[in-house]
Amino acid sequence: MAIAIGIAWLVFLYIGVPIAFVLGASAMVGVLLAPDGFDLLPALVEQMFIAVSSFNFLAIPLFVFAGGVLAEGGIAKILMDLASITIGRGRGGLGASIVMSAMVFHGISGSSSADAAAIGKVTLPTLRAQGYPLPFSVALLATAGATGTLIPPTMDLVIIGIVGNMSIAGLFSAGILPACVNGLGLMALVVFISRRRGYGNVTIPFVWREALRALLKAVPALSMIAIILGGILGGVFTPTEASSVAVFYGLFLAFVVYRSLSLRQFLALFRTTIEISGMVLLVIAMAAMLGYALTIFQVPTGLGKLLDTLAPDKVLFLLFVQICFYLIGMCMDTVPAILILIPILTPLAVARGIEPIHFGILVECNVALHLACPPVGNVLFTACAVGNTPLELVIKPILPMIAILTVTMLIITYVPDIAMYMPRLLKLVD
Amino acid sequence: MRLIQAQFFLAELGRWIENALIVICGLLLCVMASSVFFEVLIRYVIHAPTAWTEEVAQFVLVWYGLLAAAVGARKGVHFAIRWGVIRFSPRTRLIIRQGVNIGVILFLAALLKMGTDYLDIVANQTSTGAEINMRIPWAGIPVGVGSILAIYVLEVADAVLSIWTGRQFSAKEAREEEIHRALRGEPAEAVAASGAGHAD
Repeated sequence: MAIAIGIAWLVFLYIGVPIAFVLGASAMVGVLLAPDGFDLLPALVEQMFIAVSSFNFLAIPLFVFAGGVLAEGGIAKILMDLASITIGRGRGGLGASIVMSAMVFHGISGSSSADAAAIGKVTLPTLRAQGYPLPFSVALLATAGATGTLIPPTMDLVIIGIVGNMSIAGLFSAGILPACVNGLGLMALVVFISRRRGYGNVTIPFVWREALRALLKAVPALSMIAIILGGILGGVFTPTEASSVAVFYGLFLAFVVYRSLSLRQFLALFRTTIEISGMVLLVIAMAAMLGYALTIFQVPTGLGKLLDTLAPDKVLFLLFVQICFYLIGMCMDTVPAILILIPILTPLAVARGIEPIHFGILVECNVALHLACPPVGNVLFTACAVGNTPLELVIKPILPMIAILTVTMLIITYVPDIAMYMPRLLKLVD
Repeated sequence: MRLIQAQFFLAELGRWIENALIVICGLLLCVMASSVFFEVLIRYVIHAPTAWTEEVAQFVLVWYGLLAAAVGARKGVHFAIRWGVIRFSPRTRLIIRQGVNIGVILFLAALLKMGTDYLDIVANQTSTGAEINMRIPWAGIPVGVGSILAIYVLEVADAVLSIWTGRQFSAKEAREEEIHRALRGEPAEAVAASGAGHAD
């Protein structure tokens, strides 16, 4: 029956059925082919209800909405001003400041696409004025946006935490240092390329007063990170509660402090939030059905036995996981892969002595990489759209950046202390 | 002439359903955000946590999630892999897409039936915190699935009527072709807005 599920899954996927329905329909096919399959059908609806009534998944629409409020509310420009005044000078300085702004902005908005769109709108004209070629700038924007994905609050980390039965607070804290490793790697590459090719203005002086003014203006926006992360990591509220606090604090910033969000923009945000969260929640509901079907046919146990033969030790297992997600990420979105594979692979990882939170983070590193990778990287598409640049022109400049992020991903995979330092420091793991 | 009027009426009906769904989902989003925020407030300000806030937000999520998915279905933003059909002509792709739509309709119809049947199973159950009949949250499944089903039926109806009228009103179909053009190496804007990639 597991083979029937697999065949149905591949056929549906190949002919272009939306992935949510691929998951649900292949689960239904599998269950119907089972002995007494008709009696098991109501359980599929039950699984669907359990999945979409999870309190933790409430964080998805709320963080998407909060991110939209901040992206549309001009917060990106305020952060970019601060970053460009402080580190955005000299050869490659502005490029490096984009990486930093994207990471900080992700800590506020929780959305990589919003990162790329908001920061791109603000910085692309300045990048062009400082001699950065447009395809290079677009590639940088895409990889910087993708790098920020590891900075909490991230929707993927919420999903990984729920389906992998891991502490979401632990995952949030564990993402910070790997994001810094990715960011530093990318910044170093940008400065190196810029110095060799002469990108960037070297005549801008550093003025303390301007830097201080930009910092003061950014303080209310930066406070969002302290409130969200501090609140979650300090045990003041759960990640879901933090998402509602983010919504109201974001509205306060956009309407009262910065007065940068119009009513029309605000209403348009509802539509965007509904479309994004609707497609993710439908995938979650249908993946729960497939997860149930796979469990009744004991697929996780079978896969476990197979991996015991193919990848018996930790090193090979981690390599297998990264290659697996790498290949999946090349041809489809990784949310369904996370929903199906994380519950199956996490116990196998734990059995090999890998800490669950480290496992979640290394998968998220892979997801982050694919956000900027052709052919399905959505942050790359967003960056191309913002820069009005054809995808083909961006592929050449983005390759070295992807290579750097692949190297940092492998470092994070095989040096668990990078991810585990913060959760241990904050006593979020044993 | 009558056929094009019927097709136009169906397109308007689809637009009306979409707008209604957006208003409902917008309100549900406000309820979710407010009830969770209220929970935090009363815990720290009044020091009197309530049992109903969390439950209400969870139940609203059931309704919101599937109704929002219907909005996504109308816009064609659900993740899909199009590489298998990219080499075909636009007409063949249209036929394959309508075949897929009919398959999705059958799947959703089965799900609608199962979801409706489940309402009888939970008819006598009451939630622990908010003390509401469990039919109310569970009804979110058939209503949500029914909404997605209605969107897909309208899509197929538009495609069928287009055989005689020669016109298509479907925004989803126009978007699909735009994405295919982009995947074949034309400008990237279409794909960026397509939901073809990651939602983050």
